[in-house]
Amino acid sequence: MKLFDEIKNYTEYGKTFNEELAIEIANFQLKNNTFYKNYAEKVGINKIKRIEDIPFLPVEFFKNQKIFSLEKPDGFFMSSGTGGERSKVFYNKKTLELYEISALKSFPFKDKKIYSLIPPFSIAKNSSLSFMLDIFSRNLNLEYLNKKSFEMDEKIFFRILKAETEENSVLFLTSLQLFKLSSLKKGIITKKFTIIETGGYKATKKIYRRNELYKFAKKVFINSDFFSEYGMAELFSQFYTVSKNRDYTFSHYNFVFTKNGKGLLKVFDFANMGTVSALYIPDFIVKRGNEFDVKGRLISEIRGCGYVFK
Amino acid sequence: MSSNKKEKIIKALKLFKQKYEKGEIVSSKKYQKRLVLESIEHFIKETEKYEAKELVSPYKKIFIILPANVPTEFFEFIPILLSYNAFFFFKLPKRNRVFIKSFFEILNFNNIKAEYLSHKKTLKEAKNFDFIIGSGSSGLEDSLKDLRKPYRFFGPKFSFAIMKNFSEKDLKSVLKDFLSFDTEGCLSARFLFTKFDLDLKLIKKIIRNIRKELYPQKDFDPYLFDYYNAINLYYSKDSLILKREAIFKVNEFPKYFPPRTLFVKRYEKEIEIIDFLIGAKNSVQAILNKDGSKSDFFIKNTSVSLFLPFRRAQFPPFGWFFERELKLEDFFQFKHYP
Repeated sequence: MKLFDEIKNYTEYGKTFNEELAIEIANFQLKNNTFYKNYAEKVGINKIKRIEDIPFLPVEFFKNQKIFSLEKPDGFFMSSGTGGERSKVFYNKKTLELYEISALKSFPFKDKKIYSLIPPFSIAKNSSLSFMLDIFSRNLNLEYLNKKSFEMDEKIFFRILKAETEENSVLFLTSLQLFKLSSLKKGIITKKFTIIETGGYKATKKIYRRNELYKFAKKVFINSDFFSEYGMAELFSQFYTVSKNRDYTFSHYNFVFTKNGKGLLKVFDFANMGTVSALYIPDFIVKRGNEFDVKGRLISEIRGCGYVFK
Repeated sequence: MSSNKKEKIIKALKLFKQKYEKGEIVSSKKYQKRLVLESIEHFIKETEKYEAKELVSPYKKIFIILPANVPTEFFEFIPILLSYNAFFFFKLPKRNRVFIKSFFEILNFNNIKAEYLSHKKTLKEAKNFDFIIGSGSSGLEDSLKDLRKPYRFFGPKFSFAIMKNFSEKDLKSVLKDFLSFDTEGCLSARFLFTKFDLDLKLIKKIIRNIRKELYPQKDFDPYLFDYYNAINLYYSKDSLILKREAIFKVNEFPKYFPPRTLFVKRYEKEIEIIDFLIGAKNSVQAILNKDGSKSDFFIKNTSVSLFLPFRRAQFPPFGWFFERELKLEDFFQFKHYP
């Protein structure tokens, strides 16, 4: 499949955002995905000629529509569903190959040992996050410290404490896991980890901003550095905070669009060939160069006689 | 006693109106200024003609959590203030705290306190009261239940308009009811049911005219509007999406209700309206029609508690307390007790 090989090659070796290839992918998805075609027609688009024509699809649709642009899916990921309904994101062998290339390309700590608190893909079969860690386990130096579930308890804490760490080993976990571990009050961890958490700060019940969570976690992981991964089941590419100002970095293969540098996140994810590449995500961002900061999730705010009726 | 109170309230309302008009309370962009002035004028008239009864409150300390959607909604509590001798604490929404507090400062009644409190502090403070009144999301009701105090809760509601015959004048009035307070109020028209096909071009022309008066308020969220209407668009039969207004012709009840968004449905028989509303028929607040006439059919089939003529959606009569048959005398005969 020519387009598939082009995307693989572009993700691996491309340098700048390729408008021509993006238009080709979007037209391919319009042609092969009836739902996206219908959506585009509602927006007034039949054929994409310019990058401005590409309809960005609200991710909400993954909750109730079957969105797939190739012949037949082999399986699906499901979102964690912290907001209620869960998204279903279909894949096949080919699209998982794109996932793998993109995930490895965007991961900034490939040379470090990785400890994962995310359970293996064989346990969490519909978790795209577990799948991503599975890619790392097959391609990088990864060890699972948690082989059962996303739950955190003191056993996990002591496993981290005992882990034979090389300097700056990565500890990969969800923000909720980081919060729970830091709340256990089982002592401090003096080893220096490169901690990567996965965002979603609302799940901590007490709503933490990222910096507040790090400040809280720093009381336990006293010598560690904190980083964040921005990912979601609907995106086959991820973003990491590798810059000093803790903004997420994007690249040519997961390009971020905004008007006047701020607004809701619009991503063109080349690895999403099998679903829809141009996604509209209700996270408010501020974009600076090739980085962006997530200011918060747009919620259908309830003001008195709000937006949801029983 | 209560006539003295009444005079003081009227005087406070008039002074408040003057101050608001001069821009001494909040900026004119914060709310739709003309609508707010009309609303205050309405409540002055309602207070003037209101014959307050003196009633004995079974509770000495009453805590009222005001919603954030409509700044003038708190005026609907005036009959309660006039009739019941109790201590009232109004918990103000952050968004309207300056506006509402200014009124209570002018009123300067010893038995009324009005403050903005965070969610956590609200729940802590409410524990010190005998009865709690709250309106808003079901999340708030859960919090009220946890307080284990008698309370009265008013959940999310919406209103709709019915046009049997086409008239440009009526359509203009309905569109004003739609844009009032950015469609966020439970009395703003969120749906329009018509017996004829609506011309979206005409709607566009009318909206361009009335937007000067019913402009987006300062807290209007363009991102909420854009994102959720990008979804609504897919489920609509036809649409008109302007920069800050959206009209969707729909066949099915929508899932998202962004501000300044109106859903239009054509119908032949009234039962089709009920079928369309499905599970939401018990969330109907008011029905707007040409002359505000009551309909037994909708009383029987929905939770409607008020019928109003077009253009009068934001001017409910005194004595109406958000729910059908809820009277002033029964207000504290609590509906909910944990």
